[in-house]
Amino acid sequence: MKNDSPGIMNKISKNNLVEHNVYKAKQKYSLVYVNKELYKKIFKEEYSSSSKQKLEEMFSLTIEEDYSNGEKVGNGYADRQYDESGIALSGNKGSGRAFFYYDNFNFKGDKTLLATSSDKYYSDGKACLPAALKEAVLSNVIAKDFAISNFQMLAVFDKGRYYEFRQQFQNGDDEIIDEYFSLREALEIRYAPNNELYRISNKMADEKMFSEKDIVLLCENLGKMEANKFIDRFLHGSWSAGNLSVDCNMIDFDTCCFVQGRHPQFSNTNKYKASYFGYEVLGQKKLMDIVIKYSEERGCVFDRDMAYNLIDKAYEENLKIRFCDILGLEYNRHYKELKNEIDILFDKFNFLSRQFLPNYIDLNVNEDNVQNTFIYDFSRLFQKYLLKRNGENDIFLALKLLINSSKNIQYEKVGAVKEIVEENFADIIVRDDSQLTQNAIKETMDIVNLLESLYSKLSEDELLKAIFKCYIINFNRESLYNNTFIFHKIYEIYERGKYTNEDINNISEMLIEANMRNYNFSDLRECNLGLKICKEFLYYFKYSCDGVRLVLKPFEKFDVEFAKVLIDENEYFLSYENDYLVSEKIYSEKPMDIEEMQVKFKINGNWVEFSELY
Amino acid sequence: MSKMKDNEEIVKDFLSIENDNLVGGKYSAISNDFFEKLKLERTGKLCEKYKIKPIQFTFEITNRCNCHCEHCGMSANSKTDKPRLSIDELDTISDELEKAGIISYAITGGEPFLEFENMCRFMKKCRGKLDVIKLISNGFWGEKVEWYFNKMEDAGLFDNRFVVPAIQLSIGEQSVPLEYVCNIIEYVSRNYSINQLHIGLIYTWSEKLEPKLEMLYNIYKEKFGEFPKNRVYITISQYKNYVEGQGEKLNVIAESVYDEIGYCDNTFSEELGKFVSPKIFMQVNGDCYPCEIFNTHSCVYLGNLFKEGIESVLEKYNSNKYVAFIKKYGTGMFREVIPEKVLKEKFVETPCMACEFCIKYCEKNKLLK
Repeated sequence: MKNDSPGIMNKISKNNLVEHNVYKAKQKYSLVYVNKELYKKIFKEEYSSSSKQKLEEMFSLTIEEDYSNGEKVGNGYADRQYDESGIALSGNKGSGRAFFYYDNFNFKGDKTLLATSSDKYYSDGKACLPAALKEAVLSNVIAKDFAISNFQMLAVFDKGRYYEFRQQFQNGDDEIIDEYFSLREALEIRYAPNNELYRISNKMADEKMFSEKDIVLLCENLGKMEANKFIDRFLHGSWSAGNLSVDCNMIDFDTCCFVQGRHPQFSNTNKYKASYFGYEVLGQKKLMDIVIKYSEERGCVFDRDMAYNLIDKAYEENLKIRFCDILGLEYNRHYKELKNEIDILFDKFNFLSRQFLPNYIDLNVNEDNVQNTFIYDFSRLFQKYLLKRNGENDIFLALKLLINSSKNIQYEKVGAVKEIVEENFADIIVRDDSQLTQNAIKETMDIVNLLESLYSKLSEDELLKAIFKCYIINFNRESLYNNTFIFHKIYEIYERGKYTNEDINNISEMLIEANMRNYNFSDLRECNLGLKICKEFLYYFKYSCDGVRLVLKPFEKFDVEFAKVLIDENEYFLSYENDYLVSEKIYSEKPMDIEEMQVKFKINGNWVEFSELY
Repeated sequence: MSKMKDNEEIVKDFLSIENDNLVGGKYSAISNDFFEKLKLERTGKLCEKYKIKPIQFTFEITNRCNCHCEHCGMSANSKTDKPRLSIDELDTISDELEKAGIISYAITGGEPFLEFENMCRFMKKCRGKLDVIKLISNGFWGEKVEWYFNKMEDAGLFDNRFVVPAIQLSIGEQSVPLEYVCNIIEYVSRNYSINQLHIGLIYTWSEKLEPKLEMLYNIYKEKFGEFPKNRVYITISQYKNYVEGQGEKLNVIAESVYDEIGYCDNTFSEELGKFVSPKIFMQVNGDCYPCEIFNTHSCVYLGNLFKEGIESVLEKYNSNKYVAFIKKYGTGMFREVIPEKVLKEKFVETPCMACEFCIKYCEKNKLLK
């Protein structure tokens, strides 16, 4: 593995790469997460027990001399970025806490010479362990699952020391409140062999030109990315030229999360419409403004309206394509024949799924009542309607699935967010309860009629495949919503010594595996779904069209000598397969609804009371 | 069960095997300080370092038998290249047991008394070092009972240091004249106190067989007068080693595995009184197992004494996951491993078969860590 000329040097000019001495760390870092599949790809060998030591030796490095043993091993490079607005970099001059080293690796969690912000919490170079784990999980989910991929996280290390991290909240008086937490420092190893970490702002810093072709491609990718984010229910929360690569790969996941409803929600700031879920495409248009302005200043003119149209066109097209997916269909195969139903359904979906009650504060993804604010739950409807309907036109079932149990929240104080929301989303706020009910029933009936018309045109085999696909693709994401911030909970338990490094690794791996949704369904036989993480163990289902198997993975300090599982009052044995316990297969004629299954474990002869971490 | 009801009056004259007193139980220590003496005896011996320290080593001296019971529970006369233990092998056994600190042995077969000379030679070699705890037989030698006992006395039958020796006689399908068995019972009752020598009957019965217990009792009374009360132990068994294709299965009562599995008391803990535990059982070819169940199977195989030595056998005993499971939880805990439906739908005749079923099921489906 080369030390001195990482691959980024082929992309960013030397002037904009700031050289740093790389030293061996004084204290060896401890591996808490590794992407084993990526490890195999990079190192051309299976991950084994000796691999942990190898990685710890290889990556226990630092550019901060105070934390080193003084032994220099090479040169690393931090990238300068262009930030006209000053928002993206918060006073820094580029990557303030990440540098490139070895061929295609990026080390995140050390302070670079570009960390010049006067606010020390923007320039301390630190990454905390819970956030690092979150970034590892999210980036690796998106890398495998999303239409536009991104870098993969190879590993996360615990540096073995603590730092006081700041978290900021906005209260009802619109005051920014600082809270401080003493957390372990982490090192993230990001792997980017292509352009995944070559930011738009890097290209601008190099004064490189965006050709017409570049701009067209960028617009199409932005539209595509936003459409996919809407369908996959993913919020970035902090668009900027520094958070996207030239190929539209997302970078930096601090403010990211999945969301349950498709109504407007924010994670970072509530000030701008473009920061809300479902409307980040507006942010991408602002990004194009910056790119076009930059290009104009360098003699290349591109029509703004044309750029917006390209984005919109790509957005609409991809929304439609992906909409077919969540209906359990394939665009190429089914759209032409079922266009009428799909188009009408889509229009309803695109409008109604955004509707919400005026629970202003709870549009913040960190708040508790996020899921009680949206009105129509199309994910649940599509996921379960075909599976559970009792004959055709099962309106009662559809009502139960589609209409969310949303409720109005009364606040003592609201603050500026009310004004911002009222201004930006007036057309989709729902206030009148009686009208809501009337509309909901009418809409549900219309939607059911459309669905029945659509699905009646499928063959029996196609219908079964649609049921299977619908169930998986619309399944809520496991534990990756911000208001159930599982990474802090996991961290707390790790900090108390109840979880080992291996447990953290297993949890992270399963969070990634169980959050895949966009499979190649023509090939798919079995996938992992329904992950539950408890204090002593985690479990999930291996889900297939003709049945399920339950997998129990005890954590290292919880000894399971033998176990049985009760699923809906039926007993099944659990077999040991390496460190996992797997149940016998529960067969069924059609896909099962695992969310409604009552699961109880008898472990070492005793019924175990368990609750999930969140 | 009707025949058993008729036997109830007869059984009253026998000793109960439920007596679990250390001194005076079916397997009796010579003195109350048995466990203290045992600990002392084991000092510096191999088994000292292990959690499971066998007290008894049962071995098949031969698998030949002069009876040909259709439902033999001891695989007697089964095809083997090796019908008996050689003198060298017997010497190896005594040396290994002494090295290990296993204080007692029991001899079974086939019919051990067919190897009487070797058996006595072995007993002599072990005298003062290892105790004979049990000799199992069909009693054919009861025709010349005094001669046999004189030889056994010379060989050291009464020179035990820790436990009272016992002779156990089997009646059921055996073709040995019951009169011979009566001779042995009478000789023992007359010449030895219960503190010197125990004697027991293992009576295997079935609706289809003659009522051997009743017959024996009547023969005894006719020949010797009153049956010696409270002198002879009796174990009444319906156990049959049902081997596929070995002829007509006797009519026995079967219960579900779920129920049967609760009847076994063996937890590989140290016990003396009602039974002896822990034990090692060795077949005539040297293969060792942790239990005297006759349907021994590979999941609980402890290795071959002659090829691997006693230390290896002890090591495997202590690391066998099924032994560890039973030791920790008892066989009843299999109910918490295997689905109830499976256990309730399978019927077996004995707790041993239930245990075997559970072990095999667990092994096949990898249910234990």
